[in-house]
Amino acid sequence: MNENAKRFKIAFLEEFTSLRLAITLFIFIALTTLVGTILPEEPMVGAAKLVKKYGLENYKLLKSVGFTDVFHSWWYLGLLTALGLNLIAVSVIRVFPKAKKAFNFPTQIKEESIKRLPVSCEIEANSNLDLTIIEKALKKENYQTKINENKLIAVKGSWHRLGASVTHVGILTVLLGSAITVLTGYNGMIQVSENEGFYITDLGQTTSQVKSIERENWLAPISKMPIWFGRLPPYLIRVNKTWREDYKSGQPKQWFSDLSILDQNKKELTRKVIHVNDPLEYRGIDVYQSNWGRFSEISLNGQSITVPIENFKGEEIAVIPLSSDIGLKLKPSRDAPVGRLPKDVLQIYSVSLGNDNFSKLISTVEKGKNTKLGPISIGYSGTQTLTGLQFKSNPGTLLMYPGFIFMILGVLIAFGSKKRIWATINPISNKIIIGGSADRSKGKFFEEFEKIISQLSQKNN
Amino acid sequence: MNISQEEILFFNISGISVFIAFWIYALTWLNSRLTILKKLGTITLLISLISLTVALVYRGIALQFFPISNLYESLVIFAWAIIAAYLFLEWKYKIDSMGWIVTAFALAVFLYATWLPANQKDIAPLVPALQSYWRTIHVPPLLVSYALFLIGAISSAGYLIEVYFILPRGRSRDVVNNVSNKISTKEINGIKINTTIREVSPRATFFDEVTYRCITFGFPLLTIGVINGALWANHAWGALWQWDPKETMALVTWFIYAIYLHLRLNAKVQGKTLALVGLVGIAMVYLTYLGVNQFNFGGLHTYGKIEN
Repeated sequence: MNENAKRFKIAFLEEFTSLRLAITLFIFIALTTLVGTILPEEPMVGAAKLVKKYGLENYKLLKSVGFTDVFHSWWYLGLLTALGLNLIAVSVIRVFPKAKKAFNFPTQIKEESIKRLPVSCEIEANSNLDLTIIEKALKKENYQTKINENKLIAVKGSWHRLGASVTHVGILTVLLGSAITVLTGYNGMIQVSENEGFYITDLGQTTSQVKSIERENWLAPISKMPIWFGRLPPYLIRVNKTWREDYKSGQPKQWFSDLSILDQNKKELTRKVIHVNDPLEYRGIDVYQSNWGRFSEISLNGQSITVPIENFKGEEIAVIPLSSDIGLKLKPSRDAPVGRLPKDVLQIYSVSLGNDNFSKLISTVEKGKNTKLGPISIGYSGTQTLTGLQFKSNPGTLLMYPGFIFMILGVLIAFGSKKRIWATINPISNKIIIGGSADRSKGKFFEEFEKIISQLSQKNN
Repeated sequence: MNISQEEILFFNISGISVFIAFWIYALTWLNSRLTILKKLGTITLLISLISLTVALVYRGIALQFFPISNLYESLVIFAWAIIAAYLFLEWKYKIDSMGWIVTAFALAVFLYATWLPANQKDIAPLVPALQSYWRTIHVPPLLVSYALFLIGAISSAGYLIEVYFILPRGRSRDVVNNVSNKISTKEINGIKINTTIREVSPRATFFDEVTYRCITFGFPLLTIGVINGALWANHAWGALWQWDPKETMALVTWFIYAIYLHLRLNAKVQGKTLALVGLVGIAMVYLTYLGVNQFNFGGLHTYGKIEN
């Protein structure tokens, strides 16, 4: 390598690992994240809402520069990558070497340098006050000390210097974990009813679930990165049962799904009842309870629709408004008259939308049948309970946890600071020159220094 | 379910105590010789803290879980955190000159909580997503860190007022004796101790130190809170990070305080810059804590929202 190239390399590394670059990147990321927070993001609100808000032309313009999805735009990812690279370089070149030196005993310094320390003073030396007495006082304050001829060096809190290294190790571990997850992990959503199951499948561009060749099972599409090295499990995940528990008021308290994971021979590998905040975890796949609902399949004049059944004042119903004041109340029911087998039926009431008390049963339709209400024909294909499950594989998580622990430990370790004190005797003036410095929280160190000097001066008097 | 009479009683005692403490601290600020009053201020504030703790315990018993599930409860705990953080800092670093303004902010939080619509204060059951022990380890560290950042920001403002308004007019009672060398000399038992100082006056040094200490206490708590949030999200929704507005806003806040701590490593950075970062920080905390819902950024953290 010629001289120029060498010089360029040194200058580049100097600049690339500078605190200035790190802070500049921090500021840019903070600003762009703020922009991304304030502007509505497409993945959160959907494209339609953005078109409505900005108009089609402006939407296209904003989309082309990444302002409709800041957190996935190339420039945001570029900033994060730059920060990641800066962090790796800074850690290796600046931060970790400091950790190596953290426990090195401070070197001797000259009298003039002691006088220039952030805090210093001169005390008359005599039989009551010499370096060994100062050493004793410092030891009392938990300093490690060393006396060499007429010079004293004391240090405490060296381990606080590890704070930055431990935090950086933590952040780097988390970054590595995220990279593994991004490159090999996947996630997806599916809605299934009882006794149905699903296979996790790569369906390419298709994002909605499709029926499998097995009648009762589905193929659940995954979402993953364009560059991907992961593998999909061959398991069938089956919902044995799903139900909800309500508070007395009718508000949902918790949703449950009883799940089994089956292998290719339909042999059960594991089974668990999950609920929100308590997922099923099996060999790197996690299945979460995400939402829950009952839906009636009906047809209005031949057009089929799915209506969500909700708890309204203790009744499980759906209301379809027909005009501003009249509507139809649909109530799926399995109540059977005495002595008959229960049938899946849909009770239809006419209701007045302004008056809660007005409700009149006008017809009952059996599953698979139709009924005519004036000009409207209503068909009923049954009511089913769908449990919304979310699944994911997050292989990087194993690294995330230790990474997080290191980050937290690091910021806690960095809380204190390394404190150093030097003292020397000037044989001509017979004075002890003593001074010290601390990495951080200097005010606290000055107080401690004053306290030590005050104790020593009392001895001197 | 309605709030119990005991909870209301202790909440009111706490609020009134903060109000009284405000006036006491204001008097001692105007006349620093009133040392007995200073102690009285501390005692009043301590009474307020204890009453608020009792009110929270009553609420916790009624709910049968740690009371942090809506905006009202989070504001009450935020007020608790402000008072607790202030009392801790007053005991440790003698920041009683800032007492009046900190209590004024605590009072504002009390008033905001009281002003919320009645149905927000009612004792309500938890929605499925919030039924987790993570709730109690995710939110409180964040609220305590916000309280510390608030006190830090008040101190930053104090610093800027000192540097831009009080010192230039020569009104400061104790300007550093040797400003050009930035050395302050203090005599203890006849021994002169020289301290190099970064700042232009002892008061500026004091404000700078208080801000720094608040941030060094607050930053680990913010880090713990955000990480716990990520772990909870992973547990409940299957993703550590979803770029939800509250998450990204918390990230901005984290970056701002990380900037502060990194700037502090560089001795050349002026106290003015640090104080400004402290103020930007509290603006970000406000946006994270209340702004995300007030300005309708949307997202998953809608629990803290005022519902109609």
